[in-house]
Amino acid sequence: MTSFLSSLRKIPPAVVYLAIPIVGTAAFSWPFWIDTKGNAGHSADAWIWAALVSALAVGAVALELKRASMTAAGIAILGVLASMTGLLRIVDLPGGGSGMFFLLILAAAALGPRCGVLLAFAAMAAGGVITGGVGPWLPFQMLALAVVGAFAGLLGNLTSHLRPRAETMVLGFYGFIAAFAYGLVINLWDWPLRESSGSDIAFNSSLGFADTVGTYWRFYTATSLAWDGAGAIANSIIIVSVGTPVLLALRRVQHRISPSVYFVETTADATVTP
Amino acid sequence: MTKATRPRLHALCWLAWALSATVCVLVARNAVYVVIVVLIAALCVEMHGLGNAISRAFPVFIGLAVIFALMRVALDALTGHVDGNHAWFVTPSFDLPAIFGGLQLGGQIQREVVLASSADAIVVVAIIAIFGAWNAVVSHHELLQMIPRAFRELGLVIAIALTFVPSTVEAVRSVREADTARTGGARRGRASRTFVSVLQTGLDRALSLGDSLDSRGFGHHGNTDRAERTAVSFLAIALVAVGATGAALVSNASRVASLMLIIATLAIGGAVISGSRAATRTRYRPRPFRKLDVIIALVATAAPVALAITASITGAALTWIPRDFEMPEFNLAIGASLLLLVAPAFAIRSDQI
Amino acid sequence: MTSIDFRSVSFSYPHGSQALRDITKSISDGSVTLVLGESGSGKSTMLRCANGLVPHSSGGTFTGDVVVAGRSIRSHHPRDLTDVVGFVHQDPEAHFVVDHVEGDIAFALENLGMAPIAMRRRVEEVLDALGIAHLRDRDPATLSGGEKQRCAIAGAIAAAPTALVLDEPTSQLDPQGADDVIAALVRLNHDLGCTIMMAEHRLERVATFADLSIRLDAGAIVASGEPRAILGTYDGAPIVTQLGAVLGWHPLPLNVREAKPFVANPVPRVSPRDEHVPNGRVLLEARDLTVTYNVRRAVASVDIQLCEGSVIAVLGRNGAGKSTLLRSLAGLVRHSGSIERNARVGFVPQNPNDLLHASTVRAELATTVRMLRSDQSLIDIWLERLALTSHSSRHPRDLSGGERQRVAIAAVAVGGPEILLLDEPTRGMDARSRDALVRAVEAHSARGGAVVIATHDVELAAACATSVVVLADGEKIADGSPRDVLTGSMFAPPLLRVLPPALTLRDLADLHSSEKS
Repeated sequence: MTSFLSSLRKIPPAVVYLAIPIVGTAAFSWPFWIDTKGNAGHSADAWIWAALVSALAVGAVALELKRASMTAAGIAILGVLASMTGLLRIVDLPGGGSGMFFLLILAAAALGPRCGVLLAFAAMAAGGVITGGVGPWLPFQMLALAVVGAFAGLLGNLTSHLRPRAETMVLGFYGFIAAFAYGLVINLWDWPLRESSGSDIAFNSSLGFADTVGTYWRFYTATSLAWDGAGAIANSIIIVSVGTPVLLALRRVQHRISPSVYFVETTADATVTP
Repeated sequence: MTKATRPRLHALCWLAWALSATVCVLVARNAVYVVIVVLIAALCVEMHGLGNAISRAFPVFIGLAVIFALMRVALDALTGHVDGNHAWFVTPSFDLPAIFGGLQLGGQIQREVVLASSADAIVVVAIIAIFGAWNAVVSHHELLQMIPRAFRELGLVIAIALTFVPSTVEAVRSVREADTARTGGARRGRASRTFVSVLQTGLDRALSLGDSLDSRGFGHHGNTDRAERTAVSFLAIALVAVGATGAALVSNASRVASLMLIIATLAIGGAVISGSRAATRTRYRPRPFRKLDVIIALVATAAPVALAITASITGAALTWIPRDFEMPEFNLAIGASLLLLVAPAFAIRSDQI
Repeated sequence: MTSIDFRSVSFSYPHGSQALRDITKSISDGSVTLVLGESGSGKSTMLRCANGLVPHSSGGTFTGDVVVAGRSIRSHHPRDLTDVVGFVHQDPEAHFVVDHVEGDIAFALENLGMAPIAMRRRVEEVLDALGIAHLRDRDPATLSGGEKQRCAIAGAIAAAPTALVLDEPTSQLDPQGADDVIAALVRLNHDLGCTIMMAEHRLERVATFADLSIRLDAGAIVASGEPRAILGTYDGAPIVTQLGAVLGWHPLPLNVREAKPFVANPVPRVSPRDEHVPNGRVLLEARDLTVTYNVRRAVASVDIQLCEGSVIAVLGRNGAGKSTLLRSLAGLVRHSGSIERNARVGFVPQNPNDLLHASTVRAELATTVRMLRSDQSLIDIWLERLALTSHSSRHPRDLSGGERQRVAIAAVAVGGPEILLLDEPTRGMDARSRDALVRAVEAHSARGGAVVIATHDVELAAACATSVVVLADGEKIADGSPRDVLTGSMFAPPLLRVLPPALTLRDLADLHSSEKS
């Protein structure tokens, strides 16, 4: 029993980070696979199910994050960053928060994927409280932003030895893509709630997968493409222009998140405590 | 109207209310029923609003939701073209390129499309209104205190984030002022300088706060190895089940999906409980869950149940898709079951007024 | 009995600089210990060793041991020492975890898993011990600096530690807030027997009740003992102590009361410097200046004139309108009345961090030069004037508070304004930074510039002002030469009280021959 448990303890964090996109995508994308011919109104409870699944996924990830204890400095740094990121949400409310992206991406790139996920959760929650926007849509937003943060963190591990200029270009490009991807996914939260108008862009649960995708793409281009496009461009411009000093500032404090402490007995005999 | 500064009802009680109200508007999509729920939400804010910025901003919040909804209705009107509908009037039209779905924008504006879209829009406005009300009546401080101990790190990060909001806003103001004075109001690069300066000050403070957290015993553990192991195994089961739920949902196996969802919920619950046990942390002056809270939560939860029962007994339609300007159907029994949601508005303890 | 025991401690930070060298010292139970030294001498590092923040949170290489109440920091993390050592740092903005005073005080107790009933009782006791029961339901963001620091101390002693360690707890506070904090600390020490170990600039307040002072230089203890034995040769000592040291008084006085008896016999000769009244070109003239916030008049009908060479010190309590006056002279707030500017104005805010964004001191100065297209050579002139040349390639955020303040002043001054407006420039400054500031102000005014300093620091006003303006409720209640305004005033600097009409040590006749550099 103990060996079973200890083997469970060794589940690599990557599994969890991989599980978020899968579960998240499934939860978000229910309009594409639902098939309720002749059962109008079922979309209502599907929406609740999806919100529940994403809330559970947020819970699972938060539990996994707890597994590796954070240092106090790490918690404080994330708290301050979440405060700033949450405030940046006010910059762009209807778009679902593209004002938050640049800081989240840069912070995740400097501090790693785990911090990226935790920061995304905390920033979204703090932003929700600041703007009075805590609701069933919050888990959706937290998950979507966490995916952005997790990938930014993974990308940051690769770009950290590039030259600053090149690094911010790469992250700026990622910011461009991420803003679009986030917009594409986040628009799914209220789209299916509006299925009865019969408009060419409205959700219709009796369409098949391919047609639903087509309808959604039309909906997205008509409602959000221009908005998200402007956001994505602004995003990458901001990342490229402030990226270097921001990354520098973050990397100056990075060593405090996991300090390396050496206790030396005498000059000859060194003991190392991680 | 006397405004309370501390919430009179427990945050969980309000959560039960908000979820019930959401289920009601999602199930009874008839515009009249939805408007009743919105009015109830507004009444709750009036009776229980905490008098803080968020509760004062409730009308603004609703206003934004309405503007957002009207934009969507306009868009539906421009893009909705269904054969056999009645045209109201015709506007100039053009087609989007094929890559963007080849959509026709403009042309016939159809009555049915506008009406149905508006009826849908009310539901979205209602959900936003319900949670706008929830945010206005609940103390976020109390909510954070309720976060299970298993999530203490996330909860602490959010608490710190909210605590730092005033000083961050003040830092932005004073940095901008300092920069204006220094550069004679030159705008070139000001946003970047301001941001970097505020960020550096924030990070400096974070390091000081980190020292303060450490010296005040943050992360102090007892001997909690076993509870933590249990939590981890629950977590593993939960992850598998959540993954399976996703898979089952995608492959449209709804029974399997519900089963997996239940397993996942239970496993996460187990992980939270044992994870919380692993932490020795206690809570200072927790808000007790009083008898009144229980009663109100139960009455509010009864609303969607009553709704379902009356609908199946009376056979009244819950949804309403308007074809023309007409009064929506209204069933008195269903209206009455919605009124159960008004319960919290009258739950004012005499000793707290 | 020993409370905190440093046993040959050496430490270097992760990036190599050695911060402490072979520190051995025992701090006895119930005593008050002052740690003295210039910025960068290792004060903060030594204090942080007392509960293991150094090296556990900072990272780095640690030799030796610190034993607190029988627990070694080699095997105990700060979180395991919460119940024996409390720690308070200097930034009042960075203590709070939740936006509720009472909840924040309970944070340590929650972490230790104290039972809710015991916790409730302890919080009530701590609120009373610090005299902050009336603040219990407030959001810390709405408190004054002094109130914030007292709440932070409450949070640090909630777990009933036997020792309290404070790193310059009053350096960011106004005199009133600082007095409240010090009074609270004296009470904790006298009534509860709490061991206190602190670094502090305002020695005139604390030196009298300290049992031991330790003076550090470059990470090593250079002197330790009873404060009177140490302060005679210390630059940052209270001015009356310096006076006593110069005149050979024994025992050394630590405050005005102790200095008074020495004055009668024999009376030291005082030859006050000539008061220099600047009468050059008028650089700025403000008439009937009024600033209104909502309905409150923050500045009410103030007239002020700046000539070449003027150094005006603006005194007054918190909220008297000093900052607002400066900001209106800089054109940052809406005002009525007329301001005629014949020269450019540079404004340095109270908090130097508001200006700092670059990654080196030189780059910080270069930004202003680039933005205002001013003279490149000013960078080196001001680095030199403010004694920053040796720091020019360091990161501004690595510097101490006083050094940052100097960088902020330099960053504004390199824009080439003739008029410099300094808001509270000596907050958090040690003696060396203060001397450098006084010299820079004198150099600037000697070259035809003008300086306005809003300050609580009367000694600064006495040292460099050509005239002093006192504000109360936004109104100008006094205006004149420092000696006229300060003599007989409750504001008077200590030296003026002990040896009128001397404003600074330079006014002592005997000193002219043997003046210190």
